[in-house]
Amino acid sequence: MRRFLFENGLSVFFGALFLASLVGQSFVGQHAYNADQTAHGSAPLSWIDYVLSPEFGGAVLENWQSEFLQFTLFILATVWLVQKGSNESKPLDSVGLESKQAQRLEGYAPENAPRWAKLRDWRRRVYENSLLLAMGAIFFATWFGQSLNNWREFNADQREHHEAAISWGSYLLNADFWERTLQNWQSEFLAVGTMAVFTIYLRQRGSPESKPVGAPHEETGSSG
Amino acid sequence: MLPPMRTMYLLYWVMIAGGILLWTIVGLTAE
Repeated sequence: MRRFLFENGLSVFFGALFLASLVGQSFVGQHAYNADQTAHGSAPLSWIDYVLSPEFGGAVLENWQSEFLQFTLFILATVWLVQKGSNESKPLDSVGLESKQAQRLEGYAPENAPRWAKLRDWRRRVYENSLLLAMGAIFFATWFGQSLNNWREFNADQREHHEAAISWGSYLLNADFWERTLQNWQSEFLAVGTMAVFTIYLRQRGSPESKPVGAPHEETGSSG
Repeated sequence: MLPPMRTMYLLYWVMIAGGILLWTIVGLTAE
C-alpha cells in the first residue's frame, strides 16, 4: 500500500482533491441555491436533487470543458509552436511531428514499446494521436453536456419570468451560453500563456514544470 | 490483478466518463 501511494502519488493526490472539491461544491452550491429559492418563495432542493439539477451539472461541466480544451490546445499547439527559453516548449529545431527515430516508431521502436507504436497501419496513426484524441473528445463531450444543462437552466428561468422557452439550437447562439463558455476559456488561456513565458525566467527547484534553477534563460525546454 | 498505473488510468476514465454520462442525462431529461 505504501508503495502504491508512492508510485501513484500524483494521480492519487489530484484525484482525492478533485473528489473532495466536487463534494464541497455540491454542498455549498445546494446551500446557495436554496437561499435563493427561499428568497423567491420557492421550495428548497434536497442534496441529491441539487446534484441531479441542471444548475449543478452545468456548473461542473462548464469548468471541465475549459480544462480539457486547455490541454487539447496545449498538446496540439506545442507540436507546431515553440517559445524560446520556455520549459513548456520543445527545442526550436524540433518543430513539427519529428522523425520516426526521434519518436521511436516502427523499426526504431524498442522491444517493450506499445504494440501499436510498432505497426505501420492506421492503428499507429490513431495511437500517435491518442492523447490529443482523448482530451479533445472529452472537451467536446463536456461542452455538449454544459450546453444542455445551461439550456435547461435558461429555460427554467425564462418560464419563471413568464417568458418563452427557446430551442437548444437557439440557445447555442445565445449570449448566456457564450458568456458562460468564454468566462472559463479566457482564464485557461491566460494561465497557459503565463506558464509558457514565466518558465523562461522563473524557477521551482525540483519541479519538472520548471527548468533547473541554474539553467540559462535562453535554454528551451530543458526539463522535457 | 492490474498493474497500479493501469488502475489509476482506468479510475480517471471512470470518473470522467461517469460525470459526463450522469450530467448529460440530467441535461437531456431535466424539465
